[in-house]
Amino acid sequence: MKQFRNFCIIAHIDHGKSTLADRLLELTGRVSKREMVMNQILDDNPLEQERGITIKLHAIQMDYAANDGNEYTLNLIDTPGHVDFSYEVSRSLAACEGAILIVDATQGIEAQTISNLYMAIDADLEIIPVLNKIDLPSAETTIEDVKHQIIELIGCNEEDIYQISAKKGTGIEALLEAIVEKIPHPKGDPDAKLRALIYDSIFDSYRGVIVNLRVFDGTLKEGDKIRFMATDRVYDIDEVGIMYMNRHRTKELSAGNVGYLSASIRNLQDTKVGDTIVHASETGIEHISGFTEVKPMVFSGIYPADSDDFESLRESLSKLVLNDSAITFEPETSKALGFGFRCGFLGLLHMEIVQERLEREFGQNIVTTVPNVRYTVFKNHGGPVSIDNPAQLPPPGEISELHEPYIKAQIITPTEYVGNIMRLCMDRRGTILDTVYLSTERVDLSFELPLAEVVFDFYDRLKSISRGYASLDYEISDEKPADLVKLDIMLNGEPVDALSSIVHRSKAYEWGRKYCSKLKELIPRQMFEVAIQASIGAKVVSRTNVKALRKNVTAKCYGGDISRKRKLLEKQKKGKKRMKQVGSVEIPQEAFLAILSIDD
Amino acid sequence: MNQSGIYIHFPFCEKKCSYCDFYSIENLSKACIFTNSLLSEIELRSQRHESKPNLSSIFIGGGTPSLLPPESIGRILQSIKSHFSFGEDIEITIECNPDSTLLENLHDYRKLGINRISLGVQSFARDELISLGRLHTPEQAAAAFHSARSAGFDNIGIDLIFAVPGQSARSWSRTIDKALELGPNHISAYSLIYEKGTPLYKSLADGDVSRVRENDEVIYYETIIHRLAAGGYEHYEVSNFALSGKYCRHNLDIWHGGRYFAFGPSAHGYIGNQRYWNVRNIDEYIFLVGKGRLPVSGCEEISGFDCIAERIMLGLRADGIDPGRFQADFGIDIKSDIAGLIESLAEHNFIIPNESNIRLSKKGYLIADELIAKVVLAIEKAMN
Repeated sequence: MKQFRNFCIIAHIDHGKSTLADRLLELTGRVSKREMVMNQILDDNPLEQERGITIKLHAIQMDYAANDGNEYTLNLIDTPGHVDFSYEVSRSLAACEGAILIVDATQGIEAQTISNLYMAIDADLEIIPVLNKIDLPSAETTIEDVKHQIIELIGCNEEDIYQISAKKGTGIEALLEAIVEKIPHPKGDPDAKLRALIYDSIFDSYRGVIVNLRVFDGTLKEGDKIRFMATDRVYDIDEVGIMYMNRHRTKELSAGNVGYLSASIRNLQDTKVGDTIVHASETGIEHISGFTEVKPMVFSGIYPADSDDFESLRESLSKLVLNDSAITFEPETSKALGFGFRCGFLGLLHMEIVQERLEREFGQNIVTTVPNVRYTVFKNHGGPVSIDNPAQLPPPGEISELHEPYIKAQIITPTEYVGNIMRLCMDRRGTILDTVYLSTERVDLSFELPLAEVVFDFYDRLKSISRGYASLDYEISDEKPADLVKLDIMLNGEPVDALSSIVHRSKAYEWGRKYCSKLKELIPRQMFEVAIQASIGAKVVSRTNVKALRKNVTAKCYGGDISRKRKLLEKQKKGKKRMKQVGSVEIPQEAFLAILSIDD
Repeated sequence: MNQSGIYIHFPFCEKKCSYCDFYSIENLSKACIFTNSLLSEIELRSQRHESKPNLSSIFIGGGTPSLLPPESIGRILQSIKSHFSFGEDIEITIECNPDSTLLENLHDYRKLGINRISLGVQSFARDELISLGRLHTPEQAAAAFHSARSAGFDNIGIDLIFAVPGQSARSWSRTIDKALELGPNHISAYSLIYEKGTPLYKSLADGDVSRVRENDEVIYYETIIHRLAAGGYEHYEVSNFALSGKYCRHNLDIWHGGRYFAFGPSAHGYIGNQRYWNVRNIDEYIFLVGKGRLPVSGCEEISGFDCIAERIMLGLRADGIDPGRFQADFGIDIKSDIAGLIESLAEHNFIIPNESNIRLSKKGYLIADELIAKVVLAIEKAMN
């Protein structure tokens, strides 16, 4: 066990995590230079590559001959890079003994990094601070300041900070030595009863669920009968191994090591991230601490654009859940959209990813409705109920109190944007909790905010008012009562339930107005005039209309070229297919998410 | 209806109009060899037919076919006659440009059996004709029209274009006045389209001309619809109007899904269940025909839903869909399958449904593309 080193890399997007990982793999001979052409090996999902974030976790084992003459086995465990996935981060940290903290020498520390760093410190990990991109000329002016930030943050000495250029490969050997020297080897007892932590699991169409795990005590062997403690499911292990660039079968894994198992598990729900694996015959074993069920925070309706595709959408969602157990979905009906599903997501990004995967990987043509959080309704009669759809909100007369979830947000920003950010957070009903100057130029702001306000394009606004410099991290705090109302939208006098939203009373009028004008922008002119109204209860708070289409005809001389004419028709038809027919009105799919871009 | 049409494309012009994207060249030196190639093409194509197909129409278009010497036209018609049989009341049209319409030629056309003239008037406003790059004057257009009448043509159509840069409501109205004064049997009114690759498109991109405002375009279209209706013209297709049943039979047959042969470069035909189009280059055309090969550049088979979509599109653009024939041809009962849509469109005066026909109203023609897409989608959905 003494030769094992389990570690992860904590970094902000673009600070060089993937590049450093590539260099480590290259230097330890795990990947050849030639393979490196396929740069940035860890992010292998195309969506991850596009968005520059990691969604699913990977681990890679490397062998390293250190200067002390010993051979070491290094397990690099990847972490996701977005606030929607902070629970997953905490579980992969729990599988490590150390963390490399990378900070871009030209940029400084960001909120995401700090919150992950705190998590790592809480998990007692040995932190190795690293300054990356020291080769950039602009680093010269910023490097001292960034060093100072790191020292302040983790209380290390200046000489403890490693300076590297992952891109050029400078300083990597010294870093590898530091990993071996500084990160403690795992403790645990190979002869004790088995305890292993699930830090991620993925679905493989051939083998079923592949569980990525860290063995804490005991040994895991092929053929063992194991039990997942939280779900109490028992399986016989088919295969055990470690990850190189691909899976590598080892038949057993012992305390301290990181690897995978497969056991013909058909349901990803059985293998919850954070759960403890034990031998089926053993009872009374203590859970590895820190397990919580991940709960969806953001909900929205997902409907087939063509109602005939309901069953096929169900099938796609079921398949999607196989490799993303954080999604929840159950059938619901909307008067406007017909049959669809109420889906729960970890956050907005997660929702967007699911939406994109349904479209790209499963070819679904879907309509997504306005996302919302989960509210608790205290009724005059009967106990409290949770609702995750505005349509479920009882009439105001029956409600005694309405509670909404709050978050504690941490925003790190250059000082010049503090004013803008304060205004944004106040506008979103936030309260400032704390202001900490990280340096003369950077501030760490803590706010308490209603989650619902963050769901509606908060992140994009934050980025735009800080020119991309401010970073955000948050955690759910608690629920608080709020004066909320349901804002309904009517098209040609008919309420469209899928466009309803729950908003704070103080903003309802302004929202109604903006919502109407956004819809006017998005709904194309059609055969009839379309009246758009926003209302609270029976009271119309805003109205506008989309004038009827006056002319849409190609009055051209085509000769006998009918093919060309038909192609134009095909194009027009395609455009129409992207619309959802609600009553007599054709609504483009974007309109159902109009409320998200209401401030543009 | 087992009759077919023939379209002949004569790809030469004295000068190309700035807006035109039909295939034609300004070098007339190849006109003679072209005529020979055309005769060969007719010959080649005919070898594929056992019997002589029966013809209901021939349309000689272009380009500027009035530049073709009448004896060449005679040879072409002669060749057609030897390979096809002419229906009793066959319609034979030739397109003429006012600047190349000679009285003696018109007399010859009559002798050759041509019985319909399509005159490219476009506008009676001098400055608009210039901006369209036309060579003729309003006076020449009127003179050509009178010549055709005096040569004995009792079926003359004229083409007009609206939404021309610089056009005003008043100048458009004057053009309509002039047209009504001449009293052609048929009027086609097209809105100007800025087609990629044309000099006009470039002028627009360069900012030398500006588009007529959409609102004005709507008004111009409505104006001609109303003025011609008042003048007794029947609006039988988006852009076409006819007096006392003098529809352009050739085009109407095409819109009814009829078959037509195509000869000449870039010409489009529809034979069997194939739409085909010839090469769009005179040299390639001459070369291929010289090698004894059909000068076809591409084709597509029209089957299944494409066939249905075309019928709806063309039918609604023209004088309507016959539900009985539609059911006989495709097994779809359009009136009951999309009853809801038809009802709502009728209620709002976009279509005029009756027992034997479903057609667009004046109001419907204005948004024909929108309505057609709606109907086609509804039928598609009803079929699934």
